[in-house]
Amino acid sequence: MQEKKQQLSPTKVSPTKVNLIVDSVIFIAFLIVTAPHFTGMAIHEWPGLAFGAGIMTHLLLHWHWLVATTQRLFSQAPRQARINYALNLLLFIDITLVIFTGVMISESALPALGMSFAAGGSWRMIHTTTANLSLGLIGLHVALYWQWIVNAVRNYIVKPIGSWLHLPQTMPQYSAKLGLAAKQLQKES
Amino acid sequence: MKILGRIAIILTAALLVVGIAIGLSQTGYLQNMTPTRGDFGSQIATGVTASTTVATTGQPSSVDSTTVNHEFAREGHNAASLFGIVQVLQSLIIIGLIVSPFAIAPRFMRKREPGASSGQPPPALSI
Repeated sequence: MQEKKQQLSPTKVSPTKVNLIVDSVIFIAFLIVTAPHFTGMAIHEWPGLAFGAGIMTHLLLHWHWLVATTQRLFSQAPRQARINYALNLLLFIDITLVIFTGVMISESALPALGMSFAAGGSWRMIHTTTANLSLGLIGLHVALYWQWIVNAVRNYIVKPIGSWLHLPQTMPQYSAKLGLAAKQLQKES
Repeated sequence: MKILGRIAIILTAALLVVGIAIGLSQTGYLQNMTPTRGDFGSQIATGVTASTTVATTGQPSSVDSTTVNHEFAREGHNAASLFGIVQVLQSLIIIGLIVSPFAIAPRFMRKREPGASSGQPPPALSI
């Protein structure tokens, strides 16, 4: 078993990398889904339904945080964790309502599956209101995890691209040359 | 198996939210909470007015009231348009505005701390 584990370990993908990829996909999907004028109604509805699966994956990936914070919510959770938890709960409720009301007023996705619901004006209004609210809540969600995003992007996007372009080798040389040129200019002037 | 259980818990939580929403809608609370306001509401109201006018005049018409309502409610949304990318940019700007104080504030805080960077060597590479 240990040999097998040792064999598997080099190919194991970092959880941070997986989270970064999944979260980026969800974020791009969110931007596309919240622009029905850009995509048209049919494309607005199908990824809207798939967005639910994305949220599910996101929650499954952060399951341990979810369980740990829920367990210590009323006892010893720090203030920051409580704020995060409250915001994430609000976001979950909001996204659930957006998807549910979207299903209720669906005009192409559900009819294509042979289903349709009586679309009321209130469902439309709730869909619009919760979708607008989700924009602010996702903004806050991104803001709260901004440092994690910056670190993950630096480690898994900027650094690999930099090493691919051989920036660490070439850049100091260029900067040193530039520094020398600047000193020479100062002396001459 | 473990993942299936977790999915079931998430779905249960989502169903709870949906159940509460349906419950509130059946009591009429949501209808009262969502008056006809803004573009969306006025469009719906206009659709209803058009259909009721047809009904009160008593003239036979091939226009279905729900169709009229539907057309007004989703006018301009059905077709995709490149100009719609403005909506994407709008969302990005709103999120950027929300995120920016959280992204900038810690840098100011670090700069204001006395001797925060005095003991540390400068970064090897600054782009």
